Amino acid sequence: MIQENIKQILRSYKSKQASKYIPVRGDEILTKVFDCEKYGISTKYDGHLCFIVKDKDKTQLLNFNGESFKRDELINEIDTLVKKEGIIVGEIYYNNVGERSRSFDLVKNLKVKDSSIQIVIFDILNYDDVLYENSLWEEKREIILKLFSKGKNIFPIEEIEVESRKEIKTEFEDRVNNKNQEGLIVRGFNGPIFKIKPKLTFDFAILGFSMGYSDDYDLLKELLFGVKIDNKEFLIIGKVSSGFTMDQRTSFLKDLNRIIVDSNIIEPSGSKTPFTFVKPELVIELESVDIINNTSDQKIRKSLIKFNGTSYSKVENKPSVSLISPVFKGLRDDKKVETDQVGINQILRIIDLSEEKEEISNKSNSKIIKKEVFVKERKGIKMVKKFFLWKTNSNSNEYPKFVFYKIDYSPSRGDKLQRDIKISDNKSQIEKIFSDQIKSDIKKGWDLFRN
Amino acid sequence: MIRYIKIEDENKRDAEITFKSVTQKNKVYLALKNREKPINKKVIKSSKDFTLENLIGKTEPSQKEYDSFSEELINGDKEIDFELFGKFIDRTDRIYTDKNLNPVFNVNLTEKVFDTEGNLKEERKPTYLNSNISGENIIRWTGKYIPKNKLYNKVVFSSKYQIKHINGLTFDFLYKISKTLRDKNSFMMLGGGKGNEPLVFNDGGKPYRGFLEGKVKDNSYCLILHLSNQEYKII
Repeated sequence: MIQENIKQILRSYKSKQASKYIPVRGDEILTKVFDCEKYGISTKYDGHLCFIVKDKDKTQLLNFNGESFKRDELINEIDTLVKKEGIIVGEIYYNNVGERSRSFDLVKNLKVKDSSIQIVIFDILNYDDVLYENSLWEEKREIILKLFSKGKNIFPIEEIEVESRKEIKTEFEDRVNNKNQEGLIVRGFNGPIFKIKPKLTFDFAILGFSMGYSDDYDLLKELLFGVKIDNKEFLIIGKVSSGFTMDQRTSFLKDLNRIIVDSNIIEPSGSKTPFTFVKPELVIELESVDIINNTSDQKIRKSLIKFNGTSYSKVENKPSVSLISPVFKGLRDDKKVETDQVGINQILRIIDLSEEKEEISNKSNSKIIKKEVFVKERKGIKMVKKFFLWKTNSNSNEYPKFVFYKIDYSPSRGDKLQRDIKISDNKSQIEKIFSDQIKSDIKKGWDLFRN
Repeated sequence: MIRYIKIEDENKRDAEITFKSVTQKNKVYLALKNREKPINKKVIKSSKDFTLENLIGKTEPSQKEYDSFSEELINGDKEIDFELFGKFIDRTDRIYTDKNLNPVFNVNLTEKVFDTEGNLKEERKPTYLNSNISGENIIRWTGKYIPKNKLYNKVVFSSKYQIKHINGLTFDFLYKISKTLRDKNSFMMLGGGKGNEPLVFNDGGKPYRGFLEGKVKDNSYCLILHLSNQEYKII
């Protein structure tokens, strides 16, 4: 059982860390990387963020959600290297010798007993009662080197120092373009950290559009796009709003308005209107800086939708991705909306989208445990207050165990129908909420209604 | 998120630096008995099918219909979905709806100006402002020093950003600006766009007047950009 405070530390690290890195495309190194006195360069490993959490009683290897990576050999190695309590951060990856690390290879191989899983250490939050969260990298590196330099499968991040952006470019050419590594992490001395990756290019099917560029609702604002899964199904990937010329923001509308179709799906756009869906027959090319399959606290899931020839309907939510800074590059008139041209393979070659087994959600009908109705009559007008307490009868984490609900109706009041809701997983707590609320709300003149 | 801008000093020299918002978390927070922080969750309280008008079945019910609805509430529970209400929800989006709460797919935005009596004075197309602090734009040093003791009762500061260096050269650049402002015990008004315009941080965002404050201690500096879009006025 992972303590809630540890879980919070890990989640908060993940979300804070993401904002620390400035994403830069490989072709933008000379313009987007700040001019610093010197830089520390390391290879970006493509695995999962992992935390070594060591306390008095045990050593754990956790992801940012507090779930364990079950690798006994790594735990044993940590126990030989790390003697004191602390939280240390690294990337756990599958060591595919001579090949680039891939997060989906890690997922595949984590449960394979003899697979080579390694951890590269790049940060430390605390160790031996000393907090390092706000310490300088040099100080952290010293501790990391001291602890892990003798590690076999767990080792410190290897960093070289360079003095110019040209040298970063050369390293990028060598490691990413020639040796097919995922990217570089560049730590500017006294400056920010850059995550440098090659630009990613995709072809997607246009599924919808929205208006409202610069608050002008005669101009195209965004396109909704996705990949084709099979004959009729599409997985929504995202929306793109930049890269269009002003001409395109008007001229595309002619084509899009011609192919508008019905849908029962509300997919909100950036202009606070739902996307208008279109027949899946246009293909766009996009570029993005990065692609992610989870946010700081959960896997990204988006709508899987079905097109029956005349309208769209939602099938379910499925694992999907988000593109970082997508930019529209153009329409691909030469391509068709087919699985081999706008399919999911272009995503799967970069990032894992496998669905983890989820708890089967099982909900039978809610059961009303308590209900009381009070009526107050004045000049022939009835005011009503109703108090409910029900058990949701759900075993999933989509529902609380108990719900308290209050209705307060007065036909002569401005806001005639008022509602209040409170929830709890504890029966005695919710019963107290129920009785306390009645005690404070029901005064002179209110009569209990008996059926 | 770290963003970068170009800022000018009193000698009209500019440098690219970073800025980020300054937020101080509350040291005092609501806690559970076991000292852990409570987790906030959103739940479904009602839905558009359960508005009073939809329950009565009329877009604009009469007072008589409102009055008689009391009986329906007393004798039945059709105002509650026991399977849906109470369900947890994650992220939510806002969309425009019509008065029946049906989503609308395109809108026309207008800005209505009312007088102090609440009467409609003017209806116009809202102005959309593009960001004037990023890209090629340079945040200009207007040369207007405003002593701290003169500004405190003139404007309301609504937010602030910390301006930070990215290397040794920009450290010296920002240190010097901070020292100048500290020595003069003044704020410097900054301008966007051509130099005297209010600062617009994001496309479609609000315009703000920017006031730069500098502090220096030994070899360190602190440069804060205060933003304001409200002035104090005597009524």
